[in-house]
Amino acid sequence: MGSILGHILNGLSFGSVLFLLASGLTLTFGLMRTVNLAHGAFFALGGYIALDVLRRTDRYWFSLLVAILAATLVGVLFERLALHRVLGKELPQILITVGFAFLIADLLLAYYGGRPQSPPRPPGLDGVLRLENFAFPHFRLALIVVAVVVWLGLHLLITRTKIGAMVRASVDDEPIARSVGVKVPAIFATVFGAGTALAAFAGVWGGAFTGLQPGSEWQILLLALVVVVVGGLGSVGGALIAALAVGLLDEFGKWLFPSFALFTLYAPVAVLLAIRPQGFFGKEELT
Amino acid sequence: MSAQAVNTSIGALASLALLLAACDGAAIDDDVDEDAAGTVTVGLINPLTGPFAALGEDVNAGFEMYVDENDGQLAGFDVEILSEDTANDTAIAIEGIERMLDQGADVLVGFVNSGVTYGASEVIREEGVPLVITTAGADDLTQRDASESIFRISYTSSQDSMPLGDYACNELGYETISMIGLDYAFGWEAAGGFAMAYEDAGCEIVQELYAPLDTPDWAPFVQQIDREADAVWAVIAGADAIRFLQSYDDFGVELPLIGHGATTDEQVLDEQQELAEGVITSLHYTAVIDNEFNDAFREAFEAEYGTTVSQYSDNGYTAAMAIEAALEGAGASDRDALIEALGDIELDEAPRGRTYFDEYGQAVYPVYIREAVEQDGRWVNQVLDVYEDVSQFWDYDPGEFMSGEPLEERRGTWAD
Repeated sequence: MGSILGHILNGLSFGSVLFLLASGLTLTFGLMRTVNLAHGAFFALGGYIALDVLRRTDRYWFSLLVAILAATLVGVLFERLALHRVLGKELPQILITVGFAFLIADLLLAYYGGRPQSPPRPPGLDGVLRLENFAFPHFRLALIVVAVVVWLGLHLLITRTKIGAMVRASVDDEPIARSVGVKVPAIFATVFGAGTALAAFAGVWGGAFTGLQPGSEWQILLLALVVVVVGGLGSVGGALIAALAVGLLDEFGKWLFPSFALFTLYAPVAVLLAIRPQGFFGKEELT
Repeated sequence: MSAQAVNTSIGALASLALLLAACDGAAIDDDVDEDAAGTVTVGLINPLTGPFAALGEDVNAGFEMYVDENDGQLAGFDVEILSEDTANDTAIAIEGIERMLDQGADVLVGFVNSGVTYGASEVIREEGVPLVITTAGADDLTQRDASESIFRISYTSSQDSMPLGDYACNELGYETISMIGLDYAFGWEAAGGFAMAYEDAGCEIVQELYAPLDTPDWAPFVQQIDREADAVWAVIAGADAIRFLQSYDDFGVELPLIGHGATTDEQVLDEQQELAEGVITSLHYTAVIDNEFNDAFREAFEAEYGTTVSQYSDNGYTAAMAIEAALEGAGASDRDALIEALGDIELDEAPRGRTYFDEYGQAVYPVYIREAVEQDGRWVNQVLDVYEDVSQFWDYDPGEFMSGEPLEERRGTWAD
């Protein structure tokens, strides 16, 4: 029994990491209909900046804050200066965000070198919960809690606040939103900034789980895309359920069929998309 | 955004990756000294972008440092260094090699990924240019597919594992071992080498587990480790090695951990720290080998680059020494003379210890049994024991070794 519970908790904690990785992407992808393929690069940017500040100051929460603020600033500038010019045009968005991802990743490689690094776990979460026949790290438990908190925050922000209403209005019908006084460009810059802030947060907390190295930016993007696509584009609740489901499937797949470990993450996704192309909670595209 | 657009994005991403990687230019360094015996042009071909960038950077740094220490000359020849990025891609590597050959490269040094090495080796053999491999480990590059122009100063995947097979059974007294490794040729060959030597020493492999490269969560694998075994042997490199040790610690696996040297090499040990405490591994290098040549190398490298020396910087540095010895032996810098002379070199002043090539072009060198410990505030792989003159065939007969089934194909058969 202990072992089943252990596997369930593991799957949920890995799913929580996946949700954290994907939450920022869900926001920009879903709300702004903007393809931000630089998401993984913002993840790496946040993680490396936090590590750098931490090594200089030895203050964890301060480093986390600096990393999030710095990544948000870069994100907002990038949105205002480049991405905003191609609003609603998918292919130019893809090219610009991929180009920007290469730019960030190569700067990080040049500055921080290519050796694998890992932001530390948050202070106080280093311990391990030990019951009779069962061990589970505090950090993994905390990840599950954080994922639920992030989901709840996003959900309330979008559905229950005026800002959320303005965001939804801007996305659904930009001209009408403008005509009733919504400052659409400011809204988009804010949403994109929030997306990069979440990516940077994931870079620090999720980075303590996944580590950072050259190439992380694409591995993380791929995992985040899996979650966003399975959850249904733009559905924050869908992303949470998708992330937990993928985490559990991966965990049990690797436990029961270790020789197929390479496929346990992607095979269920392929099957699901074949049956339900719009994902769990995606709406049919109106074109 | 539709599913089709997602596909387009991934496609666009992949093609951009290729395009951008292809644009990385060559660096040329051409100081020419008029009094020199001649000039030798060395082409460095290593990954400088992508997942293996840190390895390629270290190899190049080690090579360049040796040349700089000798005032830009090796054995009286002025050295011109060219460098191209493989970007971990065969087509890009071949383009880079062709550019360097056009610029007159006399000898090539590099390669991390064995797949890329195999892909490019045909061009290299046709051109008849000598190659000194500095990381790529596929056993058969210097066994079944050996070529007279290809040498390797770094390990074959199984070479550094085999001595630990003997040590674990006879010295450490572990009678049963569970093996866990990365699921690709390097992992299979390294595990095969260990398992063969270990079982031939009279002990028993009881479990064989493999996880894919870049496994984000190692917990499902760590939890499957057979707790009845006496110890666990691991071959896991790079960021995976950090995540693996974290999970090993988190889930309270208390079995002693030993492994291939890549599992705790200097590139990851700074991050693993106390997670690696007491892990015993085998490798042909460690930053703290106690001889004057290694002391000088380590101090100079750390002063110059601000990072710890690693097996990769040692491979680059020792490759430069090998080329120097070959130039000395040949008295000329043309390709044929270098190929001829490289086979006969013997390095007595290498940081890692005495090194020479066997008849297949593979380095024979000491293999160190190391234990990760904290020493004066730094984490290092301290030397416990050393096996001198370790060949890629260990103490097996080369003919028998190569007539058997290749080690990578014996994956999954050791625990039976």
